[in-house]
Amino acid sequence: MTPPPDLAARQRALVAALVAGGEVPAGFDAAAVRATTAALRRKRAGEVAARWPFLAASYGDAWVPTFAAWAASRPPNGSLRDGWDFALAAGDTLPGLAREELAAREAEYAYDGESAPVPRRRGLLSRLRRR
Amino acid sequence: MTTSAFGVGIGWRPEIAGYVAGLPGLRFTEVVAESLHTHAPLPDGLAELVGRGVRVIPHGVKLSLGGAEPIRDERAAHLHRCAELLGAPLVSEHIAFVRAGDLEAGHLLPVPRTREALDAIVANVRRAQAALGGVQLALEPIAALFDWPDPELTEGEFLTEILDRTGCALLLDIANVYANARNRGEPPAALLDELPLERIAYVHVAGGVQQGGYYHDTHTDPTPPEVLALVKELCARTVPPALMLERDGDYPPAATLTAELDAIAAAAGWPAIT
Amino acid sequence: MTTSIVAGPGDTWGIPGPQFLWLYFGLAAVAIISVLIWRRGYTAGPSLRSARDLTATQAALINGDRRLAVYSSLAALRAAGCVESDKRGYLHQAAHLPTGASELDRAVYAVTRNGITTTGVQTHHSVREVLDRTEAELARDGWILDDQARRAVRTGALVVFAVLAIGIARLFAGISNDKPVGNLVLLLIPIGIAAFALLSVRRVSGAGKRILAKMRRDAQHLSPSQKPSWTTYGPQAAALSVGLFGAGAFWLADPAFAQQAELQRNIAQTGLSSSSYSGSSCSSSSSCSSSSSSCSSGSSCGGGSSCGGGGCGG
Repeated sequence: MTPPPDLAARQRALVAALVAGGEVPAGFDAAAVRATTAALRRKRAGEVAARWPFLAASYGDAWVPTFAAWAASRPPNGSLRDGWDFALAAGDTLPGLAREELAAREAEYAYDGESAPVPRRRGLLSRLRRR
Repeated sequence: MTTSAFGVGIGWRPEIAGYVAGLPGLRFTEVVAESLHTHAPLPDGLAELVGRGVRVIPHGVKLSLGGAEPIRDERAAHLHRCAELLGAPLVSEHIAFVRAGDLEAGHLLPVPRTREALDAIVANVRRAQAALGGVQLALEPIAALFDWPDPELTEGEFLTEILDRTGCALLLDIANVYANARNRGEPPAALLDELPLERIAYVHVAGGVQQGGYYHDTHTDPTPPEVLALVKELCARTVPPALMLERDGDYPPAATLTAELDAIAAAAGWPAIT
Repeated sequence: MTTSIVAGPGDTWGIPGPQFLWLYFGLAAVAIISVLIWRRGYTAGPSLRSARDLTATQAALINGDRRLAVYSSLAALRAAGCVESDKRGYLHQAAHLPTGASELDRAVYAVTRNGITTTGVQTHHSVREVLDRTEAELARDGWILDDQARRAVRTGALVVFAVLAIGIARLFAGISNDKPVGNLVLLLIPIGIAAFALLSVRRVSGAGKRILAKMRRDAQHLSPSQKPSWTTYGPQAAALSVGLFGAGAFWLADPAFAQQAELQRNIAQTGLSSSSYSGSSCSSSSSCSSSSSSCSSGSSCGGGSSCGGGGCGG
């Protein structure tokens, strides 16, 4: 049974409103959708913090608002990529501890910013080379 | 008076695995399916529970059964492999969608209560059931701060029809029932009465917090007394096979978790497992 | 008897070359093997059967060093919420010490009364006194080898050096007799390497290594790869987590404090890279549909929730 295109488009519009900064679709309780958006961002910040503990810790209490502001119009890509993209976007303003964590991740995965990070080969030689 | 098959349980999380393993009366737990790598052995703590004869149910969160697009075969197959690894006769998932087109929501979102959406869900559930082989599927209705406009069915009608047409069991989340009723301004027990309680496979209990004008079912807060009262109401109507505390983060001291598990057991009128 | 230089070559020392090589090889083998057997017996340590588990402080001293022992006490104090660090890295008391604190915990807590850095704690005389005593007990019981014991073990290497000396003497004698010494040199190299290798002695006894391994197996849930909740398990478990799994466990559980208190990171890591602590990584991209191991269940913000995004390692 083919899914009705109508439903798919409407679902996409809702998701866009919640995670990609899109407009709240007609007929929805806008306040409730906005409350959901805010809570979603907090939760996403928590998930990225779990995956990137040093990154989050280096921002301290400012982590959730800082990450939420950056993520406002960017749909989630999974906590590994989200944290990575955030760290790359921070550039020179990235605190030292976070920079170390980013370096460790870059040693572990190859990431071009476009597709999912790929684990690097963990051979002895490549590990020695990275030392 | 029948007794519950498995009693009170708690969700397995690596952060509190030692606490879960130490519960003397534990016979039931649940693990998030997406956190298991099926091409690697089970985490030690989990393997030990399985070896001890504790029932472990894999709980999926990313299948997106409520989506307009068909579910991905790999995800359904993964659920099946989890059930095999754990020796589980049942897996559970949600009546919700988590992605649409190229966008991931990263979250469980409500579906419209229309016949169109109903047909789409039933089609997806049937796909999942095909991938699961003989393993039973239980569906969990979620909590949401908002509903879709122009619903054609009530929550109870919508759920009952899905379960009737697919033969699935119900994973009743008491905290979700409470959250939805509270946010809509309706009495929670009334919503409870609309649901097909005889199809319950097991029950979730969880905590939340009132914030910004809404009750948020966070799973990182203590279970409020109102939810415990609803547990009591439920157990007056039927005997669920298991009542499981879902805690996902901000884990409190062991004594606090023990008190919460004891409170759930007391509300149900069941023996404590601690 | 006169040695004739002109009339026909005589064997060095009266033993023909090949025969000497065989004898020498046999002698060296016997010497090295005996020394190894003797060392193993000497450094074996106590039997595990009758031994109780170690305390967190003891585990930290065996697994790492005094710094790790202090860190393990700090972990207990942090988990109990009774110590804090200010921005300059000075530690202060924040609440009363809970019951069940170990001797080192009490000593570390006491010295933070007027504010002190982590390095200051490590070198404070009352803390050093507890550490000295604990280390001495561990050495006495045989879990670690103190300097005296290690010196004794090192003397075993003397035997092999003596064998090496014989070979070198033969080498010079052979050279001055114009004898071929190539094979002898080839034999002397591994003997020399063995002699120098025998000079290094581990600090931890065989039993010490085994009891640490046993305790790590029993306390799997405290391994950093599980991201254990110190709040749930309590202060003594936090101390054990650091003692058994190294300073990295502290950094993962409480990175803000670890950074402010300027704890070192690379003490006694148990072979896991720090990046593999947080979340699991997926090696096969096609069939894996999982994300980080701390994926939460369907909690809602009002809606249900799921782990962020799809794909491995997400």
